[in-house]
Amino acid sequence: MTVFQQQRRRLLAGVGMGVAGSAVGVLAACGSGGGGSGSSGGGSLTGATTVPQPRGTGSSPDVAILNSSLDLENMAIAAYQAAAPALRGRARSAGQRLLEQEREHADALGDAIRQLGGTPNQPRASYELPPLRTQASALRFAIQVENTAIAAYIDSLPRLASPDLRGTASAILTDEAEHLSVVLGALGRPQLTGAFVTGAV
Amino acid sequence: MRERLIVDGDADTAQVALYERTRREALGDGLIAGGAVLCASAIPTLLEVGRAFAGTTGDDDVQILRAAVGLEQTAVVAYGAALQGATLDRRFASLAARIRGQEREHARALTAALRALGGSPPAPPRPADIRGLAALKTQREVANFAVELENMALAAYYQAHQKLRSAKLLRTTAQVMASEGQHLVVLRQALGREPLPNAFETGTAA
Repeated sequence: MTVFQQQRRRLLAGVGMGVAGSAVGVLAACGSGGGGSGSSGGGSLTGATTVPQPRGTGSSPDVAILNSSLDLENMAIAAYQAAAPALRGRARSAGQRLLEQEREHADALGDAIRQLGGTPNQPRASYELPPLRTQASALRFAIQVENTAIAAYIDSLPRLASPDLRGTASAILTDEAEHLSVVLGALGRPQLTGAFVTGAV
Repeated sequence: MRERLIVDGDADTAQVALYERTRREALGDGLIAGGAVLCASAIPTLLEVGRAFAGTTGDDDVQILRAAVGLEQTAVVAYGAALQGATLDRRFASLAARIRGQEREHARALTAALRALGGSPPAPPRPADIRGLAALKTQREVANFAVELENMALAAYYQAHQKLRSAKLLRTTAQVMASEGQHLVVLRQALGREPLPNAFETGTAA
């Protein structure tokens, strides 16, 4: 298991993902660079069967979920910053776009955490990322980053008590799925990963 | 001066006005949809799709799910009719067929979930029930129509995720919504548009 894979396992655990459902595919396939296809939807639940009831601010459990999502976004930002020098032409433009949008996600999550009375997690001083010397290796790594985010957001969605935050999470999740499609296209691979986008590879 | 999003056609004037207002509000009041000119006759259907979940009550997962099935059935029929009735190049036709297959998978999965909750699916629409389909002749018209259809689906799922109570249904529909987002990427690229216009995909970007 690489350092990145270990980091990803810790981050997914922070979101609350167990070893069941969509997390299995993600963790089992770390490093494969797969496209993230999934042919069956609606994986089994590892927790409650209904969404939690909204509560007041301050001690909202939503803060912890949002902070775990923020950790993933900060890792994605670091990954795209590291990948930038290896990208050329249209792939470079796409990489810049992805980086900007991950920053927007992080900003929105930070704002939401503050509105709930919480403190946003800060990015780590450094992330141990794999070598990204070629465009192909950078894009393949981007697939892992996006699949990790997709799996995490799907898992976190039913855990959020706030209806508005569930809407925000689904809007970000869908954007991450779109990122995956763009990255796959840059690699010349099929861009529609499956009828049910799970983040599993 | 505001550019019209909709070309003149045989749709009711009030419907055109409502659709344009809805889209403008969604797009940020004034942002033009990147040349997304649509056949006016398609508007009633798209309005219906856009309202699919808006009328559901806050705690009725069955009602939301039934609306989602209707949404996916409409997409299956629309892509199928476009494949048969419009002039498409081989690459785009292959893409449309792939999307139609995924919409069919969505419809089947959501129908199964609906039946498991004791609900019954609506009858699928016929192509003739979907106004505007017959008017789609060129690839560009089909792609524009498809972008609007996918956007309306995304907007509906975005609303649904704020209403659904079942965790399992939330996950399933999230996976479906993500798939619809990927459809939008390839459709935007086919139209020469920016594939990632917005960091938050709520069905409001062209």
